[in-house]
Amino acid sequence: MQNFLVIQLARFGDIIQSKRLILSLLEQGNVTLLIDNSLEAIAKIVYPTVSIIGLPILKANQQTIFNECKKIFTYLKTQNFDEVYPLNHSPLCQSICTLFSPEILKGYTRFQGYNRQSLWVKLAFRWLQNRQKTPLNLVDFWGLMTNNPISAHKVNPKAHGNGYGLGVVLSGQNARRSLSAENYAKIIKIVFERLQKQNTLKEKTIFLLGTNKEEKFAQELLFYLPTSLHSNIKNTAGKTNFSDLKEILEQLELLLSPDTGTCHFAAHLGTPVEGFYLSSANMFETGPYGMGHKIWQASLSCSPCKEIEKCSNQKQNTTSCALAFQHQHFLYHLLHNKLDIENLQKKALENIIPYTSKFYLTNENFSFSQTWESPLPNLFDKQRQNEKKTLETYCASYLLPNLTQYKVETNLFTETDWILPQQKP
Amino acid sequence: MFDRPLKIVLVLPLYGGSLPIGYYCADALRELGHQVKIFQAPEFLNAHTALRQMHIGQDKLGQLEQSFVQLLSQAIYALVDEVKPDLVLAMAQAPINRLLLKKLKQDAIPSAMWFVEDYQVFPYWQIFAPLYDYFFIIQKEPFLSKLKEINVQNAFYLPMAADINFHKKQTLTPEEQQFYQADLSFMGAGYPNRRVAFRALLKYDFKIWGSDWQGDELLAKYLQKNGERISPEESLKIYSATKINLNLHSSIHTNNLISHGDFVNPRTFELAAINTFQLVDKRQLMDEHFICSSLTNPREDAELATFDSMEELQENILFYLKNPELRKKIAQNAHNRVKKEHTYKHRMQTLLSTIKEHTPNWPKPIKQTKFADTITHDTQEELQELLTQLNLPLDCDFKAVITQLRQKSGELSAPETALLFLSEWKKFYS
Repeated sequence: MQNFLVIQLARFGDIIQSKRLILSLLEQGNVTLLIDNSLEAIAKIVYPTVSIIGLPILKANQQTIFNECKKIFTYLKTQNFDEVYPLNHSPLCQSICTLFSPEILKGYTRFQGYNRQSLWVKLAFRWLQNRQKTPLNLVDFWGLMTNNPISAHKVNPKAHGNGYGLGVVLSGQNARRSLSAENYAKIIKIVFERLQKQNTLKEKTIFLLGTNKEEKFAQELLFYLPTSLHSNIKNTAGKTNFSDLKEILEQLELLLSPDTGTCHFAAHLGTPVEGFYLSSANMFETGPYGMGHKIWQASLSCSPCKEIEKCSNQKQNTTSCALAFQHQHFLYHLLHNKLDIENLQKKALENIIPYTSKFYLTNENFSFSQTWESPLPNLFDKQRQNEKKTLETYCASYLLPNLTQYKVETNLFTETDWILPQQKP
Repeated sequence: MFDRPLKIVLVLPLYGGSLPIGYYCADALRELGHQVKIFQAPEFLNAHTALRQMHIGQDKLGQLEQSFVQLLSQAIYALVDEVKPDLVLAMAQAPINRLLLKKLKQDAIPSAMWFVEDYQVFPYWQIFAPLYDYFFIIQKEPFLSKLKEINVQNAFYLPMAADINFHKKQTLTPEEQQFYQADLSFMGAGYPNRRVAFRALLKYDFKIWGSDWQGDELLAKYLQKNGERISPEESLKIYSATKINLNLHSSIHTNNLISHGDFVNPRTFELAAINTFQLVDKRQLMDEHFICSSLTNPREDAELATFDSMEELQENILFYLKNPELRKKIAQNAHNRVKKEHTYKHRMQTLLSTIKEHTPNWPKPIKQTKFADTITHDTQEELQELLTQLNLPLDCDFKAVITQLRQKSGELSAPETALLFLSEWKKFYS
């Protein structure tokens, strides 16, 4: 049995999005997951058979960090890991790599104080130069770091509603990636109406989900939601821990969410997600992983933008991508949910494209990665497809049998990849 | 085939499996009477290693690596410009970038690559193959069709081979015999399919040699010399001392331990050349090159003993351990076949004749030297040979010859010294 360490020092959603990699490693041996200790609870829920170690990162002083980390690192050194997967580009993560011999580091490695990247990671940095045609989800990027990844379609259960309410994630960490309370309220009302028409709700409750930081937003939402709906609303902002959240999510009929950790949690549990991705959120990178989810993706010439940059496309004092979600045609399609070409042509969507998630299997019952499909074309679809095929070809050279061989995109590869020795994957 | 020796620049890769093949090709081309200038890319590998070890971030390293490959390509072009070859022959992964290939086309210098890799494992052929004038491969369909799809018109099948001057049976000292001998041996890298397959063979007097076997507790005690890399010279001793050399084609997949792939690996030809017995997994293109024999379908004139499954392998081992005379006979047949048809000399002959067949007016005729009427035929021949050795065009003038001789380091030969003397004599007396 082999011994693996996965270092994931990012947020709640990232821990869940490491699932493909972790499940793949679990098939080969034991896995230890090193995370921020504030997220231990969620990690233990999602990965009950994985040994979880939490590092004091938030709310710690220097003495604590030094003492605690020393203890943990001493322990890690005794574990004789066969492979170590540092998943973050951050200096914090890279510093931990110095504990281990470079030969066992996968993806991001380290040499004499400087980080080095395997060819797979270099490819990712190249494809991210243009996020408009991102070919792979983060789940797949991390999952394909190992030589024996499980099939993409086996990571999460196929989404299906259980009927016990509509969940609403209040907002994400970045306010620009979330809808305004007024807009969100309209969307919630419409979707709730839709579910009732479909007669799929066994319990007619709208759960508002979030931390106590979102309590203010919850109040704003309540202000804009019709009073006739208030009796259906259960505001759980700041009142749930991760176990409570799990209990709610796994029973829902549907979860509405921007790009948040909660939507990944729902995907992990097999609860259908209907997401609203705007600003810097890109569902091709961080969409909910699994079959049966739907995303309304803002699609302007500036989408997806960079979080740290000021919005250059504002109208009426708001971002153009957020405005797209106020358009009457969007609200129409949200209600009627008949996304065929005829209907979409009658009431054309402006700057939004609806996508549903899919997996394609090879004849060995293996799926390379998640795919998103839409009845509406996107300028970058072809390039995205070509890059995905190139990456599948690259992975086929050392990964699994029966992955199809495709034409190699030259913008992803450089001559040095072929001519000079490389670290794979 | 050619009315004069060809001048060929052979470009090696910096590292990897194609590297020794490159050297064998160079020797073979020289045996055929051609002049070969090797671009010794491996001598630059340490420079690349040094770059990698610098205290710099990944971005800067990436830029330097790009410049490094660019430099190598420029160095190759400098050599080509100096030599003015009839052909540039590159091995797989040779550091010839796309810019250089385009330059060669502009300069009308034919280029060829012998791609001795599995096209599925090294997909970069898609980018480079269309830029070469000739692309030789060790597989057939569907690779040939895929090459046609990307407009590679001159793609040809050219299987692996052996160098009978190097791949020879060794005479071992008693100590060496003791150290290397085994009933069953494998020499090579620890690919995933081999690691799994060999677990079934641990009951035999079994030795494993080679690198990349670490982390396998079961096989560890069969691994010799702590998994050190084995030099080509030492591998000859291993092969010579072993009763049954196991030749299982590599695969990164373990779902099928016998991959039933198409191409035949170099080891098959090398073991045959060495006149030592091997058990080899059956490959799709094997019957073209050797008469294959299995226990279920034995052949009197067998050249290779093959297996198609792990069960068959076990049966073969037991059978052939009990039949040393049959092992000897099959090994001899294989050796004869390699000598007759499967040396690198044969391959290079095929490569050059293929290029000649498909290239009008190749090689270009060279302008002949103009000698004074008083110079005898023998002297003319001697001087022409000297010009070729000095890498000078046959229509160069006397001054150019003297300049070249003056720059030569080390001892000069008698004719060379005579020319220098002549040059000085002309200053005083002519």
